[in-house]
Amino acid sequence: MTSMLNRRRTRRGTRQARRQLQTAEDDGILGEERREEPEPINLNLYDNEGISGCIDLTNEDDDQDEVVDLTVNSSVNDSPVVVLESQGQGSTSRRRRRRRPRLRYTLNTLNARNTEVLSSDDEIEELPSVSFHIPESDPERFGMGDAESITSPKRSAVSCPICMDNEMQIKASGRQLQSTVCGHIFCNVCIRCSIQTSKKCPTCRKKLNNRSVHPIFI
Amino acid sequence: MANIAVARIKREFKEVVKSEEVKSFEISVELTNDTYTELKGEIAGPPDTPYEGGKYQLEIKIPETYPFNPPKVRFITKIWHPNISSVTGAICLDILKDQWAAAMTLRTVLISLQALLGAAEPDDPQDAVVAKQYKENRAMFEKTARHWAYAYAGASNRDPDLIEKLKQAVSMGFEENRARTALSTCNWDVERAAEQLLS
Ligand SMILES: [Zn+2]
Ligand SMILES: [Zn+2]
Repeated sequence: MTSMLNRRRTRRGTRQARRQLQTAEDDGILGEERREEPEPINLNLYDNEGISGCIDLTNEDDDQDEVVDLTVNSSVNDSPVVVLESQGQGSTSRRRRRRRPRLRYTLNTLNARNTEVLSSDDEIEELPSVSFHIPESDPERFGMGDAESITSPKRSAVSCPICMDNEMQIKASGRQLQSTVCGHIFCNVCIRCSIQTSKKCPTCRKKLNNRSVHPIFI
Repeated sequence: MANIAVARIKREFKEVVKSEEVKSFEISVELTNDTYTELKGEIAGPPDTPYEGGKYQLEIKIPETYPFNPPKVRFITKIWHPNISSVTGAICLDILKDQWAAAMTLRTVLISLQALLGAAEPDDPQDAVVAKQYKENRAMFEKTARHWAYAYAGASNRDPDLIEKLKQAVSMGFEENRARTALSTCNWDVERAAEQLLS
């Protein structure tokens, strides 16, 4: 899978990345027309599971739990994030399109270098085999001045971009990592709340429903 | 406020403070109360725009349902821009409305607002008067925006011609801010501005 991704990356990466941005925007515009009032979010989910509240964020020592921000951090450059496009979306909405100042620094733009995109037209069967390569911590990757990173090598962590908890914190509080069909990873609680609120992927704005997410084991 | 909103803001606060943009004085954010429901942001006017050299303060309110709903952001510093109300500071920007996504952060919002200052979208205006001037008399728009940056945002570029007209209006008995708005609206025609102020 990885090698196949690599091959396709060179051949269609750029064009698809552009299409992905376009699709994300078109989806957004469809979403605007049909926007429903957000359902109330059950925030007790967080209280019950005791996440976040017990973490003292003001304590400087918590740097060991440092959140890896997948949207900007270069330490996950090698992780192929697979985005499958569905066909035909957005084309009917162009006529209704309103002009509005668009986000110029979308997460996608900030993230463009890290994102790999596949089209769904010929590869739908391969959907379940999405795989991630998380590079092991390697002192060579860090600059000479970054002594702390060299003396305390740690595994690059996956984190939920919504609550910003890392994989360890998520598992420790009884939650699990889940991936959307567009390949973006969240904790199960956040992605559930998010779909209730907006029915869109919190990272790329692809339309989602409750069946568009599945557990992921890293 | 709900647990997740507070936890997110605390973490984002750290993220912004450590960011490159803060180190280069492009953006900054500070708390205005200790419950993390209100923050004050600041962005620098981007180079090669009429806002260059200005510092723009922003009011940021965090809703209970953050980050599933966007923060409410408004310009405190008065600004002349088609997508920002010259009266209330209200902003017309997609990511603060229907294009918000929960993975966005205060940092991405501030960077996007800074980008908006460099790339107005007059066809979807917040301030119709400013947008009309932007489309019909671009040179006048830029002069006016620069003057507002000088008057309200601390930019150093002062235009003696506009300041002279403002003095004329003030000497007729009008309050300075009202006079500036009327003059800006009337393409700096003192007589028309005076008429407007009296009507
Ligand atoms: Zn989460
Ligand atoms: Zn996505």
